[in-house]
Amino acid sequence: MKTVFAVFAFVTLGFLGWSQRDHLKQAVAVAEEARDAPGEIAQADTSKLVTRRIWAGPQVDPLGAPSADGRLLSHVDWSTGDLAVRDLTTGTSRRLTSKGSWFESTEFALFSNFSPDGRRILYQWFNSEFEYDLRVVDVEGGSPRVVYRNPQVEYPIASWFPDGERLLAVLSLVNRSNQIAVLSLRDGGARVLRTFDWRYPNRAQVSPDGRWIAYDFPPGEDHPQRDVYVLAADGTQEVQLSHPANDELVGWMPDGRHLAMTSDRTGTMALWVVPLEQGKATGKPQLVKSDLWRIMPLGITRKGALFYNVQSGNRDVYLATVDFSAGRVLAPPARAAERFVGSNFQADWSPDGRYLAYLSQRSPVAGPRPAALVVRAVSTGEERVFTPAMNYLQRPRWAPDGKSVLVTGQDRKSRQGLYLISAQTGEVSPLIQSEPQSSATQAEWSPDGKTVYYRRDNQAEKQTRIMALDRSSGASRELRAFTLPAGFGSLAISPDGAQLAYVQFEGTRGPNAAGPILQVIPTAGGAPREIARFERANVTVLGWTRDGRSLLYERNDSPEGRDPVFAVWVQPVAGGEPRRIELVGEVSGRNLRVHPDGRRVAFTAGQDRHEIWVMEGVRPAKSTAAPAPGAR
Amino acid sequence: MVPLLLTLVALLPVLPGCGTSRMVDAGQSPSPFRPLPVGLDEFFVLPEDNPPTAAKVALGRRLFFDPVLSRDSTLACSSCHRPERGFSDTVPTSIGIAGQRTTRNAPTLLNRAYGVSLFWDGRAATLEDAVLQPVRNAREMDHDPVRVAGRLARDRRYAGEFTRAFEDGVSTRNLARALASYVRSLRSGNAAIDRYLAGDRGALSPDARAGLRIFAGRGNCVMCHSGATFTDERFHNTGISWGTDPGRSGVTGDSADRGAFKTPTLRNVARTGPYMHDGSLGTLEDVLAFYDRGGNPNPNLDPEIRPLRLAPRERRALRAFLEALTGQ
Repeated sequence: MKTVFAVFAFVTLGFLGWSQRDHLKQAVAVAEEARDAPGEIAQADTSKLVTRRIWAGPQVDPLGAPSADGRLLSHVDWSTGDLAVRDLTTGTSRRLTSKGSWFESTEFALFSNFSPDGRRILYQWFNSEFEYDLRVVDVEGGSPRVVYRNPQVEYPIASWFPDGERLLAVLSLVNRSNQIAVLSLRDGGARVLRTFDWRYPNRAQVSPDGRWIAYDFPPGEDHPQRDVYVLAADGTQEVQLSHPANDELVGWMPDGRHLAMTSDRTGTMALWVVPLEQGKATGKPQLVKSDLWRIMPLGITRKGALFYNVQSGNRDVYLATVDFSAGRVLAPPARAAERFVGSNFQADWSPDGRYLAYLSQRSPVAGPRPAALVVRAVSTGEERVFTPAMNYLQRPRWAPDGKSVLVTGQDRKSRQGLYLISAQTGEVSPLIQSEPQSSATQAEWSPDGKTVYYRRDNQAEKQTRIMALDRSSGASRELRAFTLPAGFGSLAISPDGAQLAYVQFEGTRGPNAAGPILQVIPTAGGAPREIARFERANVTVLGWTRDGRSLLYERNDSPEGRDPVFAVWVQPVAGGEPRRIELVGEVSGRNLRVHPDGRRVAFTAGQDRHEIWVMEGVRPAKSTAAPAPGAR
Repeated sequence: MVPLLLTLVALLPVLPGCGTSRMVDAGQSPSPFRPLPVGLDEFFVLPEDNPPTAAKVALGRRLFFDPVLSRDSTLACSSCHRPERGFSDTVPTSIGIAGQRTTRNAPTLLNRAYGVSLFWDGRAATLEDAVLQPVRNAREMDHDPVRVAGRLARDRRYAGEFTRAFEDGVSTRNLARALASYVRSLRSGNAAIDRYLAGDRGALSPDARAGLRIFAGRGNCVMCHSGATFTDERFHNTGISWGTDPGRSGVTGDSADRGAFKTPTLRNVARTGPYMHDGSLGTLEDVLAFYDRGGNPNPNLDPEIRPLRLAPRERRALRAFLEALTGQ
């Protein structure tokens, strides 16, 4: 099953009509942009440019889009996972779906956008079958309608054609290919315009006249930099706006004769507009606004106002010293590093405790981009920074021999799996690569490094398993299997390697649903043993104390989100009451890792935050495009 | 052969306007390529100076099956690109004029409209560049396209068809354009895999579904055989005939391309054996065994090719999947 992190395709909306004609295919064209002479950067008309923040706070979600008139903003209400719409004039949100609390349903909405007439919202939905589908709901409420569902499409995302009767979709299929397709709301049919390999457009949008589809795509296999392409909506021609920089689509300007894009051609991400005619660039890109840090475009309104998200937040790696047996914090948490503050996360100690490996999001572009792997000498603070050749990576786990770091992630060819990153060179090598509709995550090393325990999800079989990979033979064996909706939470291996701890959940939802159970299972195989049972709480295993006598876990009793205070619960494995140790107030935490000395801990605390901004007065320089037919 | 040719003709797309009136292409006539089979993309690359028309496709079809293109009038394009074999040949390397052996296997011509380069070494960028090369090749048709054009110009029927298709009538350029237009019309889709990916769960057998998982997963096949036509249109070294054929390096001059050949489409692969650029693997089982052992070791072996260690049932599943790529 692909996740939001695996595929970040984001299709935005178009506003006007579509005309179809049956004519002949034309050649693909590669338009190599004219290089600017030094000092000559074309400038857009910025005389009326104004930016202002329109929504901030912990509830902000960046997965929606503005209505054409800019009054409403669709978004996800993450307290439940429902689709919601925010009235930007009153500053109030209301839910358009009502799935119930997280205790009642694991379904949720994702990317959404308004129909051209503003009356409906198209959105992605992660459904009860653990699959993504596309739905439409009226802005005023009512029952949602499933408009696209295909079990062979792992991840569909779409926006409207200007006629309101068709959708432009980017589909990620089970055979690892990705498509740009036109879906009919009338008959459910799909016309495939382009099929790609494992690469996919991040954004695709239909022009206001419905004749052109702009999208961005990495032209090379070996690097993630993108170019913008313009494809005729009837499939008859395509033009690549080629430039060595990383260019990413923002969307069509309301005149349909300019494309907005972000580009790092000046060294930092900036907003540009490109004049177009008949799908081809007719002039140099014009700089609108430079130095945009981690913005994610949400949409351009009919008046040309660009809505965008700015990623912020206070998530970081912290170090503290804890006496788990006494239940006391000996040294309060402090940031592990003072560079890229707010961008660091998920740390692990080297086996000798001298180094800390952590991930650091250093991309100037918002969204789930590949993080850097930083290896920091604890005593000196000296750091080595690697940028592994991966699409994304998570959950570093240092190998017992200290030579490599095991991560969950996806390589440049979009193969999900477990990968080893050399702690010396940053070179990436696969340990396990998943089959389609399956994933390998949550890896844990055995102390001798001979075995890797991991979680394997198989969407096709609706099963999730605890597996053990024998590194010498390459064979995996099953320790436990769960049939969805039952499953388990994150894995933690005991210091002696003899037991794995996890939280089992039944998966049924509702008022009578069973609570999670903290269990351990012998790594050699055998029946699990219950350690603790909870009622209506989300529980995450964090690890073990170094003496192996206690399990560390985090719990959250709130149905509408996580406990704002990060507290570690210490549960004796032999039984007894758990002890609560509050580590950080007012911010939640995760990924706690205990130093080999048994007292120091590294953990991630805080969370990503988002702010919604609007940039008004985005206007190309005058006379950069031919006048529209009939225009005066 | 004749019934098969008739079958082919019957399967061709409807060709409006074909042979009924003088039609000079103005780029506005209905596409001769409709309807589009399920599984193929609407977009494909076309040279701007040769938009397809029904007249061009009809002319190209006639030329394709006519031995007039060979020096001694014994061989047609269809002699080696046999429709009943997915427009490929039945032998490892085809027999050209005067019984000469060609040097490489005749690849399928189906869905070449989607190709971004032609021939095993990619030496032709477009079909227009490609189609006259076998005519000129001394081992294949060994003829001079100028002379061919002269012969065609003297043929009243051909002359008329050329005039209907092109404003300037018979020429070597238009000969290439007509043949290219016909080859471009050879499209095959609506295979079981296409119906499956479009949402028909029952289109693939359980074995074929298992094969798909291996194809896109552990088998790593999809890293090269990707996209709508199951080819990345790139060049890879598998070690086949290493040291005897320069492959792509013969075009680029780059030693890194030595022994690399273009990934062939897998559509209709069950019908297009023998396989590989030299036709050295006779059956799909041979091909699966070859990749299962990780290809032939050599300094340029593609890093994506590595031993798979497939169980016999997994090979059977892959075979079932490959058979599900047979289209219409």
